Amino acid sequence: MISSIFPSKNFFCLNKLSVCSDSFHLNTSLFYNEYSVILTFLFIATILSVIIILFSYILAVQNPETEKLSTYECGFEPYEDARHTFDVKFYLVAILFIVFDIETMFLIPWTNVLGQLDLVGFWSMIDFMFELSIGYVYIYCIGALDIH
Amino acid sequence: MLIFKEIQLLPEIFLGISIIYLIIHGTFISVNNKYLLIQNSILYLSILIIAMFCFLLLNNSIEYNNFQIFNNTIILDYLSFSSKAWIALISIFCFLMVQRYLAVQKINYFEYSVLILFALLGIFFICSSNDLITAYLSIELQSLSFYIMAAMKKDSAFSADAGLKYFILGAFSSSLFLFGSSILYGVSGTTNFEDLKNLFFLTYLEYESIYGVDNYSFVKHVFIDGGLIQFALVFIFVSLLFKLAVAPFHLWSLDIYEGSPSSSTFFFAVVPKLAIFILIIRIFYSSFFEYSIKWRYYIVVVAMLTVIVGSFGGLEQKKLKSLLAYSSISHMGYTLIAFSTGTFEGMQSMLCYLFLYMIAGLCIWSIFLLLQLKYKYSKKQNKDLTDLNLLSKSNNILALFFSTVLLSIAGLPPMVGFLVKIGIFLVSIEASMYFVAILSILCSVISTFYYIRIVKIMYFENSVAGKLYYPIQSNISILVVCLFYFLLFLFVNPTLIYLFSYKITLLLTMTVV
Repeated sequence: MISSIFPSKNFFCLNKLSVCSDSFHLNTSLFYNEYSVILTFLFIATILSVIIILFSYILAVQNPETEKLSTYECGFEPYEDARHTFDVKFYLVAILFIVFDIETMFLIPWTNVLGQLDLVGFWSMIDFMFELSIGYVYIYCIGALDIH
Repeated sequence: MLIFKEIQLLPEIFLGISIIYLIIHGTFISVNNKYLLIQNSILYLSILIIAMFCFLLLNNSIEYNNFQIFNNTIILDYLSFSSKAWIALISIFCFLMVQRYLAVQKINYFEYSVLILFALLGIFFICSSNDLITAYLSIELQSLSFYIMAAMKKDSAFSADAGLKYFILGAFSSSLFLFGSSILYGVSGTTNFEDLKNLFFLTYLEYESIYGVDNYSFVKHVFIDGGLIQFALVFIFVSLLFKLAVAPFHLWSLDIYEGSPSSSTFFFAVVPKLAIFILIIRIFYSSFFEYSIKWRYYIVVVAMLTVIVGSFGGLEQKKLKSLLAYSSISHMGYTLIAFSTGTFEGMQSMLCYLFLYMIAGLCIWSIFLLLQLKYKYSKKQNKDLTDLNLLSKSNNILALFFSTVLLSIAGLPPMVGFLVKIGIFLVSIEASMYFVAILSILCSVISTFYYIRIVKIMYFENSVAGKLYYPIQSNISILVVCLFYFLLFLFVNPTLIYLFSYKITLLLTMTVV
């Protein structure tokens, strides 16, 4: 089980003890293997967001007016008395959105490796979606989706 | 679909399916019939479900074979089996005790018992988790339901406050666990406890300097970055201590125990501690035993701090609930002292202490829940110590039970609490931790003060008028008497609990080696 994670070239090199111990370090190689992808993603995300903001700022035709410049928030005035009651249903919708968002997040990697999964792997995702739909039935019945 | 080996998880699968059934059942009935109050019936159904869970669990004849299923993420051995059975039994009692309190406090949501079942499912999975990811997910399942249970009394600002605090701090500690496990994965490339055990077996950290052999230095340099592993272990350790409410990380527990409804506090205090300790055993004792020379020091320091804080902090308390919270903190400290020895006897006395802690906690909290004050404003739930004034006059037998259980917890000689506590001190002396033993004995003496003060308030107060309480239902009082006599029986025959924990530890160490 463990041997599957070793890079095979380096793994054979373990027999020659003194030769490898300086050149090869298992920790660093694992870190490079597993976490360099995340670092790349981080860079790409940063660069991409900078590019999008920059170009939409430079290239877009800007026609400012008061209504456009005012801060926009869903469903309520941005500047009013802080003690004003705020409807909790907005948060509820956001939270429910996140739940189904996560379902998509699980589904996409699952579809990628579906060919390599066994039956348990297949049916556990079906079970997950079934249980999520029961949660949906629950929130529908108690009226959490009822905005008015 | 499921191959034969995986059907051994049948108790948990049954529990999960019946939870889903309960949700659908409760939703349709309560919505269609003009919001019928089905809190009680769902609660009795949950008791039935847990009882059937016990039945299925005990019927597993292959109980102490060391089975690993679901791609080695779940382990079924005697440790998980016995702790699951014990927790299920305790939680049946919890359900029965809580029922009356929920009716009085008007917590009329059928979701409450379903949430308890969810938390229990999480706890059962913690007991049998064999992988860092399984452990994390089951901790989350348990604590997410606990957050909602803390905030379940919707008309109380204290309860909402407690739920929010619990959520934020719990999420923080879970993130520490995730961080630690990600580092561990980065170092070793696996998250499985079994693989970690195989990987770090016989990697002597200190021996390199003694022998100066090339092999050892090679093992140390190539395979293991010891510092990084310790770094990861500290993070995992801290997050688990957060869940246990142990001394430097105990501050959340007082507010949350005080604010949340007492029925939820009952569950927070009694049920999950054993499961978290089993996770600690699996990570630190089984997988990273080779590092015990390192982690023992952290655990000893934390345990001493916990015992000191638990025994000194309780002296100031006026509320019964926060006093019980401090008492539970100091008990966790004693348990950690036993764990920090890292020996066979240490494990055994730790398990003894935990089992007894759960029974004694069950007794104390059930008496606490059953005392319904005769107020005009009956919703008052946080009892002051003075509310117990002259309880011996108004309800003599209950006062007798309460004081006996308190003396047992304090560790006074004629009770079973004394036997398990002296077991812990003896174990720490055997492991040459003399200073720790002396300090913890002194702190135990100090903490005896606040237990005895309750007894004094109940019996020897110089006031004329005490508080009046509603009488306890006869069927519930039978349960309390049973619990009390079980505690007495354990003093007469402590071999029961001793042999039970001996068997668990023996089978655990057999699988370790």
